[in-house]
Amino acid sequence: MSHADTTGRAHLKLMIVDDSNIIRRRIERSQQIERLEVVACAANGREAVEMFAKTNPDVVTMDLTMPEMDGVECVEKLVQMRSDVLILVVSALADKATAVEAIEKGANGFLCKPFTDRQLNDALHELLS
Amino acid sequence: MALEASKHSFANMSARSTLWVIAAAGVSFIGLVLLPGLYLSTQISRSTAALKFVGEIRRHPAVLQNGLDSVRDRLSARGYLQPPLAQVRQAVQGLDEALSVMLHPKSSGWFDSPGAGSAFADDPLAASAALIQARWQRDRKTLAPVLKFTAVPYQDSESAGTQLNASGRSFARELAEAVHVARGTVPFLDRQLNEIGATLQARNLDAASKLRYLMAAGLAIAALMGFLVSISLSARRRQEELVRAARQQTQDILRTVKEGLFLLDVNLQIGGAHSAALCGLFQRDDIAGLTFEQLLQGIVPEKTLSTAMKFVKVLWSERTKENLVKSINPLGEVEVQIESAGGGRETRYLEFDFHRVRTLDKITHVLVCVSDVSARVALAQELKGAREKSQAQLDTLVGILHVEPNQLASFLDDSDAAMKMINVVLKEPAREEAMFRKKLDTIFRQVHAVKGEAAGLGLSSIQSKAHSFEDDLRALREKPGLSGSEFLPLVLKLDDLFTHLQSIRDLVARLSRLRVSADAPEAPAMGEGTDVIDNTASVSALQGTITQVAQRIAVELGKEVHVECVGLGVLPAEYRRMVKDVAVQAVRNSLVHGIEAAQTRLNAGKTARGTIHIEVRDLGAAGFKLTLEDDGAGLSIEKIKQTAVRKQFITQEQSDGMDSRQALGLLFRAGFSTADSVNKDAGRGVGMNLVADLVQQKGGKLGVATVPGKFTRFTIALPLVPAAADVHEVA
Repeated sequence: MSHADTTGRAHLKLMIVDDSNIIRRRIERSQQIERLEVVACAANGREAVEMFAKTNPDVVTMDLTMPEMDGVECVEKLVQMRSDVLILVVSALADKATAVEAIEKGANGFLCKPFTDRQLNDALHELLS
Repeated sequence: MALEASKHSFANMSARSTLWVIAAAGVSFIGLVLLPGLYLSTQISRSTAALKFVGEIRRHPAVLQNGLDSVRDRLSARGYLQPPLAQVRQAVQGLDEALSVMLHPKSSGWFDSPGAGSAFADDPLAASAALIQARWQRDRKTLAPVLKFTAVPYQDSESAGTQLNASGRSFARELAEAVHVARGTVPFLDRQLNEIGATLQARNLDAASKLRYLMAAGLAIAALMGFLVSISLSARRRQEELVRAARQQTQDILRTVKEGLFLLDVNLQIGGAHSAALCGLFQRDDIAGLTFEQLLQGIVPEKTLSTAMKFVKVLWSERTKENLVKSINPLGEVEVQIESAGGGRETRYLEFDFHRVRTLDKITHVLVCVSDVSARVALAQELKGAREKSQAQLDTLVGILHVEPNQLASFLDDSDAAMKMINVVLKEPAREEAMFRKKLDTIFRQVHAVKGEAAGLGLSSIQSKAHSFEDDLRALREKPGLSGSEFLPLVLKLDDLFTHLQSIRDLVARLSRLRVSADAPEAPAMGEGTDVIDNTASVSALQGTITQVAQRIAVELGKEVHVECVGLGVLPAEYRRMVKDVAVQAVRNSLVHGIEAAQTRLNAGKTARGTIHIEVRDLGAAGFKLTLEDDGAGLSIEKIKQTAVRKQFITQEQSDGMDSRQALGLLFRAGFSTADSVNKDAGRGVGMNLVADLVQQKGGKLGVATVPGKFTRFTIALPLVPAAADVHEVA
């Protein structure tokens, strides 16, 4: 599931899925200080599934409303590919119904947009605990 | 709570251990008292039977001895032998039988009546019995010939009398032998039977004393058991009391709590125990046993229901963490439509909270807490409204700050007058439809004027309120049959507009006070009456308003215009309002209908920018002459006629027979407009009618002249002193 870095601490691999470039960059930036290593960024569900197969991340942040393949379908696919993947749904409050659906399909957490770095880290911590 | 629980479990534990002690006492009572008691009582009864038996057989040796002695005596007396012999035989038989019983004891069951021989089954009685038997067997042989003797032992002779015969003599010898032997046997038997009796007696006494001890122990155990049973009963009573109290507390909580509380099981069914408030929240009494879906069905939209159902299913998954439950809860603040007590439906806002109940680390139920947050939501909406209102006020303030103070003061005074007039008109009694229509027209013109001026000053909030008022008025105008009640909603609109104007007036007053105290203590406060505005200020305000209206409309229509005002200063104050209203309408008309777009003008050989010329001339005793002229496209007589026919002001025949002057007169009819669509500036057919009305009210005369493609000119002749105001206009 993880590989140890030189300091001996286990690093987890993170994939960011969001059609917004800005959000992707924000999550990526805020994760530089965490024990998560960003291994892939995807702009839609289809890309996410491809990259997931290649990079095998442990944790995924998932937008819900995306072109090509939406978040709910993508969550379902990723969980089929690897049942112990941890998925944090990152979406607007108005998407609550969709978020519930994503959780039903196997996502593990929900973070409401807009979010602060602190909220993001708290959500990821809770996910990993 | 924890203390209560520990007390409870302790009570449970002690109750259990008491039960165990009672069971142990019961078993020991059986094992230590009842069984030995039964054994001992059996022993006693055996011994007693044996004693009785021994008592009975103890007489046999004596009877034997007596029998033998009696036989011997009778023999020597030559008497009849059979009775004593029978006695001997009986004794021997008794002893035989007794020995048989003693030597072959039949063991009897616990509950059989004990046989006499059973006591001889064990030592030392068995040994004694064997000893007696051995001796009896030996000595009985000696007795056998005596017992068998049945012959006649005598012979009678004359001489000697009765003598023993041969068998008699032999019998006498055998009898002597038997008597001899019996002399040893009988004491022996007596002694042995005595010993046996003593042993049995001792055994009996021993068993009896043991039984006494046992009974005492039994009593003690029974007392202990009674004590324990009473402890256990009181412990149980206490426990029941606790359970009842706990149940009562639970019921009290459920009855009193304001929130709707209930448990959902894994089938999403609502449990039997729920708070009483739940029924009030959902206005139904059959909640226990419903499914969660049935509870929400029909009171929330389908989509919310389906999301909610997915959500409650997700709750049962261990994967779903507590924080996640909160953050994705789709029923955190949900609008519901509940049947109200008086029939019909009422809108409420409910907040559902979900808490998972675990027993032994397994989710067994979901506790749902429902509260009515309608008041909170209403407050939030109110706050939002207040925030929006203050934002609007801020916008208005910014708008006011951009307006030249004198213009603003003049506008506020004029608007105030207009509002008062509308109020008077609304109050005026009217019965016929024509009268209603006239009232409506007057109100329309006033509102329209206020709107136009507000637009000119850029006071958009007033403009939009007036516009909405106009919309209502227009809708009313288009209604076929008018009645007084239909004017009622107008009062609300008027009030809204009036309040808004008043708030602006207050704002302006406060602002001016601020300015007065800040820089010019002697400057007059504005907006508190026209009398404080000097003539120059008033004239410049008038000119400013007209120019501003013109520029704004020009910008909106994509046209260019220049307004020239000449001689406004000669106007007496009484005419100023009227002139302003007329000028605003005329300018608006000129820009909408007259002045062409820049390109069109250039193509027609005109300057790109149109000109509106407004002039007032003092004619001395003849009064004043107001001219409003634009260099636009002029008026199309044909178009006016066509519009009039389309709007059914006139018939086609009338139109055909009309000359230009009469056609131009149509312009001043209420509801006439040639603009193709309604917007804020034109198209409602109010403008020129208002002008005509205003002029007429002051006793003036209105003329119009036009040359297509060149100009349109309105000339207004005003008397030196304005005519008495129309009855409608008296505020």
